[in-house]
Amino acid sequence: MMSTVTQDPPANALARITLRNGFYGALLVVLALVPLAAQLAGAGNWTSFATQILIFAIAAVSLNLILGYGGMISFGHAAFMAIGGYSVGIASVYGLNNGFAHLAMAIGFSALFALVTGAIALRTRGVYFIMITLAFAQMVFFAFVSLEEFGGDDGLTVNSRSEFAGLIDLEREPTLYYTVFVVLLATLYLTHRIVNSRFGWVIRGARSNEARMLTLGHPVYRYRLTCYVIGGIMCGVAGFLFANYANFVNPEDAAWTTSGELIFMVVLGGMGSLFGPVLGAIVFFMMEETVGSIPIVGIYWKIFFGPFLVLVVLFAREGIDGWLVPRAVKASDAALADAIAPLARRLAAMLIDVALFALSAWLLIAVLGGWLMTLPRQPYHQDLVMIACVYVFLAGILVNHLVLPASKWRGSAGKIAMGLAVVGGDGRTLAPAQAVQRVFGQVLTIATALIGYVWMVADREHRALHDRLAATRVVVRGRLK
Amino acid sequence: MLRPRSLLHRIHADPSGPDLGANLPGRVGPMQWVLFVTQFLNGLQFGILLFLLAAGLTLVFGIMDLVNLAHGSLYMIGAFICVSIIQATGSFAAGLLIGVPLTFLIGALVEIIALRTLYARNHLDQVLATFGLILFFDTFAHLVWGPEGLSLQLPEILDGSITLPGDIVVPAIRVTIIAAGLAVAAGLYFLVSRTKLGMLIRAGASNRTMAGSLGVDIKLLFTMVFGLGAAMAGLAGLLMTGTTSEASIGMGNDIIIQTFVVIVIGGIGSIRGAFVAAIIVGLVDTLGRSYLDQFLKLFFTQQNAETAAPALSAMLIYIFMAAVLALKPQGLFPPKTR
Repeated sequence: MMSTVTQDPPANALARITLRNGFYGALLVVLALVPLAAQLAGAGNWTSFATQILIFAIAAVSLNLILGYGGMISFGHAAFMAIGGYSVGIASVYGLNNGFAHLAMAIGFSALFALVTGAIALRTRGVYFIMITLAFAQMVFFAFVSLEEFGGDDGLTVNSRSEFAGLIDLEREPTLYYTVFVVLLATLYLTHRIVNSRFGWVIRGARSNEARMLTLGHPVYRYRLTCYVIGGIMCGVAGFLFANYANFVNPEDAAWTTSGELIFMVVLGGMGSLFGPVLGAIVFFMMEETVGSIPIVGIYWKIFFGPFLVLVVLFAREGIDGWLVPRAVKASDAALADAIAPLARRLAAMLIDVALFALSAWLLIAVLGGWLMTLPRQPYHQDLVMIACVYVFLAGILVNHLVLPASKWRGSAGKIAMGLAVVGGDGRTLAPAQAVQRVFGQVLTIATALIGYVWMVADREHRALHDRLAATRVVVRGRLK
Repeated sequence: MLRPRSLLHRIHADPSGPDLGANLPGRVGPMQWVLFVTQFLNGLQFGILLFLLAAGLTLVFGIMDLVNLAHGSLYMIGAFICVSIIQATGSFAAGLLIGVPLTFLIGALVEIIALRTLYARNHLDQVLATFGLILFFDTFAHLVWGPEGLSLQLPEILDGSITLPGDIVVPAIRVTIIAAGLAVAAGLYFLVSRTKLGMLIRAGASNRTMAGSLGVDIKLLFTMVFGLGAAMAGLAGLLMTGTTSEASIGMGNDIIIQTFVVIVIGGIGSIRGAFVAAIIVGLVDTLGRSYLDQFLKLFFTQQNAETAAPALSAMLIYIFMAAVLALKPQGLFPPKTR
């Protein structure tokens, strides 16, 4: 994962056009067009939803500066969200609606809080640092809960959004969205400049070997503190934007679950990668929104999210950013060249898998769902059966597409039935991380309207996008030496 | 569009109620002393509950080097299981005697299924994965027991109150908690310092690789220790439910952070440190909530003091922890072997 960060940028500009950079470029274009698409589709809430995602993306990028690049495991980053938010909320209680003042206060108080708490927390190491940052955030949480005149634990409604002397009208949704978008771009650019500066290299050096950096004469403590303060300020700005977006601030913004979710976004996206946290934020909210909108199952979406988080930690530590970098692959593998599976058999294997998926989905939704609906509605017991069945369904998908391919069976049920196997270089069985990356490639292919499969037809070895990413080949079992 | 968020993060039920010490300012009569002793006992009781949680957490960290955020979930699950059994059988003793061992088993199961693979990982991975477990357990409790939680009717003997010398009336459940907690602490001390299992625990804590190569079944030992921690958490959950008379979803999330404060102040891995720090934190928190406004009135106007006191008293243990860590970054009793 880290090799992608520490590489020197290639001199040739064209050489920079990798799958990863192309993906991020496309992502930025899509993000820039969201309000337009929402307008055309007549779906105004898209813009609002995307605004929320991007605000948390800013927060995640700022946490990544501290956590991913700096190696400081802060479990209290959400405190800065709340501090930025309450800068708007409390000021507007006193009738101060000037956006410049709000922003200055959000930055000032975040910086001050980061400086004071960071100065104490950075004296500690390891798990003590995790706990003390958590405790400081908790302190902020309880402070806002106790401030009864500012809403207490009910939160505080922000009656009007920050006013920027008529320059920017945040009351208009698209304007707010583009403001957030520009702030995100600025945050990304700033992070890029920081981590590639001399300062940034000292921070990253201290993450891998603190003693060495100290021996070289770098004041690691001061550098880390500065990094911590910069990250805190960026997140304070995110909090400022969130208060404007939601018209509401809440002690919950500082809750440790929010901090945990921010860490999750960073880890899922890819620690120590510039764009990774943005992806992490997008995937997190997409998941919350899609799973959360399913009837019954949606109420309990965290019962799926929790184990998913555990699986990400156990098997997907490269993060999405790491998956976008193709694994190194031998240019041609003579031993495998004769065994490459013909397209027809691959298609048949795929159809079997799709049929299995469709059948189990139909069993789950139509049969089981229909049967449950006919029962008298016993509180929770029905839900329990429902969730248990969804669990079995998801476990089935997991086994078919991840566990089986990475086991001695070397392929999903469809592939096994058609006598095919998925192998890595030299015909080896896939490593778990490799299988995960391959599934990610498949999701990417499906999400891009099957463009990845075009590759499969054109390629001599019939390797689709996911095979290229994971450096895998689909071969006929019998012909494998 | 606001993110749907639960209201899980309430302050733990204030054992003292609205500040009882606020009346009769300036006059220290017998009434004041009674109140003070009552508050002191409340603080002691809260501290002992914290110790029951902190002991398991600090053992697990000291021996397995595992940061387990989900310890609070075992506390909650333990409470739910015990209360369910009490509701089903009508017997408090049955709930205690079946529920707590059951929590031991659940803890062992969680260790075997989910946590075993995390020992080799770094602290960030452990924090994130056990955070995932919290989300799972909270929703699981919601699914199985419903969103309202379970209410507990204490047996008569625990429901009444006890009159101590000097007309101090204390609810029996609080005295029970103090007694039970001290008994567990003594039992734990005996277990760790006087028994074979305790010897293995200490061996594992000082050098687990060495202990493993000397033929100790480290895997089994870890599962046992984790189960022990879970059982103590479950007991704490039941006892806490005795004072609030309700087991609720997210009750573990409120108290787990305070437990972390305890083990950080005490020095992570030290049971003795956990005990001392738990009592201090319990007292600071409870007495702070009742007497901080009085204290502030010495320096500020009445109105300012009354405004600042609630916020400040809620922050008090965190300020205390920051102060301890600023002076002793390894906590009050840093374990010698690490």
